[in-house]
Amino acid sequence: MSDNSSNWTGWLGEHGPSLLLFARTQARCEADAEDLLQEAVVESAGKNEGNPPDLPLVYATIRRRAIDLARKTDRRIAREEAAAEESITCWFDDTIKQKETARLIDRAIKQMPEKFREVVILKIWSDLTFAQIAEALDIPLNTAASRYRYGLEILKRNANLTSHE
Amino acid sequence: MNNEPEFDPTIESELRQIKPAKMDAVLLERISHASTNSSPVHQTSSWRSNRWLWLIPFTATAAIVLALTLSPNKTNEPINLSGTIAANPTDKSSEEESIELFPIRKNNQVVDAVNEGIIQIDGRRPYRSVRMQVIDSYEWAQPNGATRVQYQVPREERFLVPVDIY
Repeated sequence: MSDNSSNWTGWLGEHGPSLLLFARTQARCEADAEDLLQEAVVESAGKNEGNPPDLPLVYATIRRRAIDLARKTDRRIAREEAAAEESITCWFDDTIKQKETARLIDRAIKQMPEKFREVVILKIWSDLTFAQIAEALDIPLNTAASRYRYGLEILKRNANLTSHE
Repeated sequence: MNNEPEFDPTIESELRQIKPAKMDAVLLERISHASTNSSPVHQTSSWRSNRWLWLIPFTATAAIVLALTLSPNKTNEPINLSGTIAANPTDKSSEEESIELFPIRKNNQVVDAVNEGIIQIDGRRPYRSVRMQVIDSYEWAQPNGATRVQYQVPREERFLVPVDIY
């Protein structure tokens, strides 16, 4: 039990921030993102006999549960959107020396269309392959790659990032 | 780090230097605890086994009633209000007379319909899973009305309704 617990703590310490980042892109608020993450991890672990599961499965489960949640709360959407405020939670570690860059990227990421944002996040911060991203998001591999390319361009433009090509 | 081709190595490298925000310790503890202590497989199997427990009394009753009624050794004796059957049951058991029962009523009652949300099976299109709980009631009787058998069989059916996701 304690071994299992320490396994989980280590696994969550390594992958938790990336999973939470993705959950935040899928949820309407911070509380929903945390709930989505917990439910997805527990469900995925159940399919893996209680052991830490494969990451693409967890991402796919977060996404599926987010869709379910959005459908359940459809009737509240209008009210929520009217009252929606831009998330003040910074999705990135802004306690480090690159504080300004983190804030800049945070804003740029939040402004991106979701279909590009989720691919960029899975590729950059979750380090998934395009094949894994395609599996997690249930899209063709080529679509994942092209969304990533467009997303990167949008992010570069919005965050004023300069490439040295 | 994977070995996939990078589209803009400089930007990608710069982005990777920014790390996702760390998880709140409370959330980390919450998820770790939930993952360790409540495996959904066990929860589900336990829930499912408990859910089917309610079948046992119904099916057992139905089986006993049917066995007693349709058994070839079962006696078909007139109702004796004086109570002599109870007083001397072994004498009657040797009598062999079949009972002819005919179905007179069948009914299906939907008890509950549980929306289990959207599921995806093996990467195919999503489905909404709806679990219907139904009780089938059957009634059999002798033409003369002397014997009447009623039994109920609960059952569940899971319907998968295709849904479109936009």
